[in-house]
Amino acid sequence: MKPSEQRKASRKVLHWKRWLWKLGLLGSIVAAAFFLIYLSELNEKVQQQFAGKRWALPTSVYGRPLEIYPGMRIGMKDFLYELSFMQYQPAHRIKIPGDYQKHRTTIELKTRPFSLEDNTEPSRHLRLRFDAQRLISITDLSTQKPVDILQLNPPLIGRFYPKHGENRVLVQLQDVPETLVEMLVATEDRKFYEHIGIDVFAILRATLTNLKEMRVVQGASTLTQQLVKNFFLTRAQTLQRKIEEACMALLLEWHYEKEEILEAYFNEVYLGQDGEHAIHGVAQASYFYFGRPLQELQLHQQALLVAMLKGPSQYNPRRFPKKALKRRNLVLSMLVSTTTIDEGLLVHASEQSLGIVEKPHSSQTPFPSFLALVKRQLLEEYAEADLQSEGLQVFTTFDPQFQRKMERAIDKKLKQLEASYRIKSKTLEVASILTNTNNGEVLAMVGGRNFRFPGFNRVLDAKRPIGSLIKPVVYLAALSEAKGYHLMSLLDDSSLEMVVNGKKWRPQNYDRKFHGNVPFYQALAHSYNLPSIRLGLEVGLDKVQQALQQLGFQRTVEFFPSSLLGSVEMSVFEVAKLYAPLASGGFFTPIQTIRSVATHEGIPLKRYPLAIEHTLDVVPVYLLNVALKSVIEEGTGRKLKKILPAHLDVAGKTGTTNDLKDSWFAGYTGDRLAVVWLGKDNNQSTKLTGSSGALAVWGEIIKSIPSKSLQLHQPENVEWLTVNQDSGALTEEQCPNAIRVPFTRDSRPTELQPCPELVTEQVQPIEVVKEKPLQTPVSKAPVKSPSPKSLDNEQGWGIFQWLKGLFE
Amino acid sequence: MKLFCLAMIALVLLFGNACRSGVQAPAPQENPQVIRAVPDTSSEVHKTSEVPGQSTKLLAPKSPPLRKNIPELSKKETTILDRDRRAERSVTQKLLRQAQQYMQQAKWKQAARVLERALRIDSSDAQLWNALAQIHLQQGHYQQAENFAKKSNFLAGGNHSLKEQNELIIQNARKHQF
Repeated sequence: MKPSEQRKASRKVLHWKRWLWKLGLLGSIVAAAFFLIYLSELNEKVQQQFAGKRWALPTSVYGRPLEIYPGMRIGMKDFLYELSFMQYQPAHRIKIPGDYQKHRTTIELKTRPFSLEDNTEPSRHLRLRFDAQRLISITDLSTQKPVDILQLNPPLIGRFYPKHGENRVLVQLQDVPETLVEMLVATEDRKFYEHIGIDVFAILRATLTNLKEMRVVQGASTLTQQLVKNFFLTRAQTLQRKIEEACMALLLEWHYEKEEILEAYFNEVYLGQDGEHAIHGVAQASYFYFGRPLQELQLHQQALLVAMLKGPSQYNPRRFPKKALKRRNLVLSMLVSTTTIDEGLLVHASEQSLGIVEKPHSSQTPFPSFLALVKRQLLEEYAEADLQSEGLQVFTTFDPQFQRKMERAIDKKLKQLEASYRIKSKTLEVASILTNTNNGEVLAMVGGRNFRFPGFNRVLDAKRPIGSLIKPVVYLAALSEAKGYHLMSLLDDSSLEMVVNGKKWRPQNYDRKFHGNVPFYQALAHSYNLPSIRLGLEVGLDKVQQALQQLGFQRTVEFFPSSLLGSVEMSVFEVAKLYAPLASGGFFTPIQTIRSVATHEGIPLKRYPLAIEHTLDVVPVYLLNVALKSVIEEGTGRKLKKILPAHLDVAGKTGTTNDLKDSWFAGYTGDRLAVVWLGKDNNQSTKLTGSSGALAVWGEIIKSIPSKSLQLHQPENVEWLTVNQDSGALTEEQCPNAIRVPFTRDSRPTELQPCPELVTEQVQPIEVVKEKPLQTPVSKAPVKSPSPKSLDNEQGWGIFQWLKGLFE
Repeated sequence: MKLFCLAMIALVLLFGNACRSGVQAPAPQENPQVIRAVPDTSSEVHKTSEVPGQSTKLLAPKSPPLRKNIPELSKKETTILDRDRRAERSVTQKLLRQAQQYMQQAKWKQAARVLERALRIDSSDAQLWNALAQIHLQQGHYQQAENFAKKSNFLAGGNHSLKEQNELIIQNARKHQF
């Protein structure tokens, strides 16, 4: 090759080299640019996701806090149920909140601190003394002083989970036990406080080891990398993902403090599976495995959590207790040289058992029907997405004590009914709700025969004809009318035929008899159909419909004459709303399930205070209530008298529909309202009337809960008069068919009908007695010696008069 | 009560049957026919299904004597109810005082919350409702104030001074509403 050619060639090479170099530079610049873009993308991802809302948190729903005071009617058994429901744990020595100890007549416990609205209750060490029926005394053991009244922490009754099924309780770093932090760092990432997100030396070391062994035996993930992996990335084990992980770890460390990263780690870490819900975070894991809040965990329990990080399913302490114990003790022994934790404590911890609870609190709520109602009420104000992600705390009116008693009563009675009426076992369906009559709070609810099944909620969604439950509305409309109806107005119970929509309609009484002229209250007490239809038509369907709306029924329904016999369809919930204003004497308080809502940090968001929306005229409500009491005294609800204790006065109404498809009872005591519906999902006959079915269940529920007698408060312009039970005319107390009935001043009878036997006797003036029982029946004792029954046996006056009469 | 019982026994011995129905009033007379005569007579609109054993006898106006409404309680029952009432009353009074303290400090919300706690224990106490009415009046919730005062009045019975207070609240609330 000629030198000139050689030069040419070398110039060519040089040229090429230069080009290559240029190309390389350009390539690097482009690559760097891409990498920068990639990094900035990652950066944005890190910042956005980490700075924003980090986790979707489930909404937690709590029951009412149990209020305890000396003299309260709660047995030791019921109190223990409450404790176990709140996951208090029996202990040999009371050390931490949530511990309790049962003795023969006392319970010693350390309560859990909590804050509700702006009220904070500290943890207290208490001794409660019980007798057979009640809590006798509460003593604060730290001061040895008696306690007047105290709220326990509200029990968790359920959650609304995020769509992807994560179950998480957030914890702030300051609430994580220091020893747990120390253990975590010592076990997982000793240089956590020094490195910048990745530990370069550890990576090199691990790479070498892995190369030597030709497989992955050692990892070098820092806590930051682990967090990045769980928080931002998939679980795929590729090189690209590793690089991404390292970059993001660096970025995370660049932007955030070590404490923030550690806190996020504690909340993100995956620690097992509860059915379809993944357990994320140490706080949730603490509830899941130990049934306690994180703050209450002891050293050996904390060590178990750290031990499980290596493989939550592999070291699941419930499934593999031996493996878990071994791993925990390994962790504990490693800590001896690497932490400041006292060696004696560590040794002591390794001697402990696992300390887990056998069964975790199920993530499925045991009270699906109540939770459904809560959700429905929440959805009126919150978006569904917020309920699944904002971690709201919802404090409700739910009472686990009442719920348990109600479930037991229903279960028992349904079995009995099915057996005695030869109904196929477990086919009788039920829906029931129990409320407090004075503040509208829902205490308990059963949406179907299977109490735990979260499916079709019959309290809310099964709309059934209500039968005679409609009648009180008709009678209220009449009593509210200016036409002067009163409890003794005579109603015509004779054959009735009318044309409705071109069709002949001949309604019948249930017993297919006609009873002639029946007093107003008796027509209701015995639930006669014909007088009810006549009354409704006379008052006007529009007026009845108006009364229905006044009582709080909001849907508009078409009203026909048959509606007067209850062809109107309603849910159990709607019926409860309808009867609530009657139960409270005419004061309309909305039915409520939620007392307050707070953020996940406990900051109050909204309170639902007690309210009386409007008031009905108390006089017709009073008169109607007297009649509804007579349903139980002498009418279709008489069976209740055999079920309930003698001192418990109640009012209510039975309802039955065609072919005995629905059996209803709605009624109330002085402080509780309950509605019971029995029926079948396939709409077949239940073989039960309201009286033989729902009433029996209702009675069993009311019998099993503490409740006050219904006291009707007599309005000022109402007076009780003695009248003839057939004609309604004024008469003397001694007459054989005299009864006492309340009248308004405007509607009081004026006609006097002395009883024939007494005409020659000295007629006593008619007494106007206030606050007298609804009717004091008069005995058939010889007229000349007035029977004690006609006298008010509550008053000394009555006895005195009677004795006087006897010796006259 | 003892005197009453003794008198009763003596009279039973003296008058025999004449007085027996009076003494034993609390037990409803079980006449199966009559009981069957009053089944639930609900909306048998188009047809009436025959219930086995359904009696045709009506509940005649002169049916067996009705049970007395306020039956005599056994001594045990009376004690239980008395103890309930005493325990409730003692605790609601304490809560009422606590609420009144909050009211003096114009902490209306706290006061209302304490009263709501008390009302859950005993809702028949007119004083509690009155205090709630006062709180709502102070907060300018006039309709609520009026309704609560009405409720208090409704339960006040013979407590005239409380009724007067409630009337004042109602007047005051109405003045602001109209």
